[in-house]
Amino acid sequence: MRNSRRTVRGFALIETIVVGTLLLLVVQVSWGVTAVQSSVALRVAAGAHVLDEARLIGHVLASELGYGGVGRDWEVMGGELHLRAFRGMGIGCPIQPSSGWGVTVSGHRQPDPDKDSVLALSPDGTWRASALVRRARGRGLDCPPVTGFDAEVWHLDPPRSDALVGVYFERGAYRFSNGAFRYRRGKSGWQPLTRSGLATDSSTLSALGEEGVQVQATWRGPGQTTSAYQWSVWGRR
Amino acid sequence: MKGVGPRDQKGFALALALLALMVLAGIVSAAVAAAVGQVRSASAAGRVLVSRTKARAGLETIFAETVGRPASFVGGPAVALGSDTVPGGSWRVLDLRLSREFHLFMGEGWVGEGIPLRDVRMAWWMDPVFRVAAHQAVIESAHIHVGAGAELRADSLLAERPGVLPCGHLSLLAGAFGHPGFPASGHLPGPPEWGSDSSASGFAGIRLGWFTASALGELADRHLSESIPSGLRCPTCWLGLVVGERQVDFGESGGGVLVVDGDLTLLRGSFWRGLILASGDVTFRGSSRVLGLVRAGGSVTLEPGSVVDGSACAAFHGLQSAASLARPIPLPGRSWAGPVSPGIS
Repeated sequence: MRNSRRTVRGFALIETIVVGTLLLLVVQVSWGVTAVQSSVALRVAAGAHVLDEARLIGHVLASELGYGGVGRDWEVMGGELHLRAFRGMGIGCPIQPSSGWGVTVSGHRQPDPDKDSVLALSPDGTWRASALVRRARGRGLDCPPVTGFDAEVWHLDPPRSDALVGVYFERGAYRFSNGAFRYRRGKSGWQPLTRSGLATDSSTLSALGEEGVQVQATWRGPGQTTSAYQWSVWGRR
Repeated sequence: MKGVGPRDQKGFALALALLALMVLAGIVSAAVAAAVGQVRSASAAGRVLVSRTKARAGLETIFAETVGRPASFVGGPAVALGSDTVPGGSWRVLDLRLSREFHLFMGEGWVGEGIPLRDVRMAWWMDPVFRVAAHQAVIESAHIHVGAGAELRADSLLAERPGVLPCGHLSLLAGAFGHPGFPASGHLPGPPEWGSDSSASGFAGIRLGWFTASALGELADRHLSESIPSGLRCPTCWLGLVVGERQVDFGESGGGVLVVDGDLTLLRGSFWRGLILASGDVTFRGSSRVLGLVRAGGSVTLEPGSVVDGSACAAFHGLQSAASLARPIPLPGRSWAGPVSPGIS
């Protein structure tokens, strides 16, 4: 039995060494694999992030350009897209209040006299611009029943109480700068619409013929990898 | 070292395998999570895109296929102009009439049971009564010369005439033409009734409401040619929209809307019943006769023996006979309006 115990002790030592070596190997391999997994996961996440942002930029520009015409409502100057950013519309009510213009309104956001102007369609078929001075709820107004529209009274300068419809808009601009795609309302600061990561030195907005905008967007990913996309956005007539 | 044996060694291998599996599972789950996120995001964006495209396609379809007079009325509810359900989505277009000739078309598009996305487009849909009522004289032109022995009458504008039913029951026409002293001749109206300005380009020559010369040419029921005889010999027929270009010498007879993007000469013995529009000069030779209204961008000359008998009813029926003009068109210039919120009840 003594011999047997000695054999067992010796085996235990060898076993400990082997186990220790194996453990080190496992830790090393695991470390490496985890690092690779982390890198792959980062790349996948970064790729998804780039796709999300490219989709966002494409959607924003297509929506913005879709309601205007080049020269009339938007133009590209020095890599910046300056535009009338349409945010909603009002339909004139058949019976008008004693003051103001009764409309039923719907849009991406509510009209804001601090930001918005209105293009109103006159009965003769011409569009004329006015400032939105004030707005109030249109309680009791007899307006066309359209789902998602709410009655309001708009006070415009100059007044357009005989107009048929009006679209409200703010002045704005888009550009790539400081690592992000940014929007600026009026003369206010440039606000990022995407996270930083855009290579703004190689991301551009440029005029494409008479009716479109060419977008070149490049993202820098982990490990100095880059993803570049180029597409065109067209206005509508 | 009691208890250390082959079973424990197997357990160690299991731990290794589990560790490897965990690492692999981590990689796979990260990739799957990213892919699922992309698929969800892309399919949501795709549904929005399809819905919006359906709404726009519905609007385009309505503009391309709708003919006839509108069923909607000013101040009334929105009227469904058309709808369709095809694999992948549905659309519907509503017509809200804002005035006699201006309509708001609202296209709705949706996928399955999804929320409809909407697009709005302004449309112009000609109203013959309103068009005729806009005339301020029997002959509107830059200059007019009525020769001795020529007749220019404005005394029976709403009366029944041979082949022309009375129209005094139409209140707009009665209001415009039913008073004594309606002028036999007058100046051309300005834009948007006639001519171009900064808000409406492309109307330098002919204009009929918001139809340009090229649109009228495309919609014409008959084309007049300089070299080919027109072959129109139907004094009692309504011929619809008849269009000519440059210099037209018209020696036939008929009725409807006669549009000439250039100069028009009505030869001896010719007869037209309805509306005449010309971008240039119009000359009525002796014994030519017109029953209706005339608008010319240049000068109008009535030579001795010619007769222009003012009739709002003839002009109205002439416009009504032009069935090709009874269709909505997108308002030239800016026609898209909005954006509007999705159609949530």
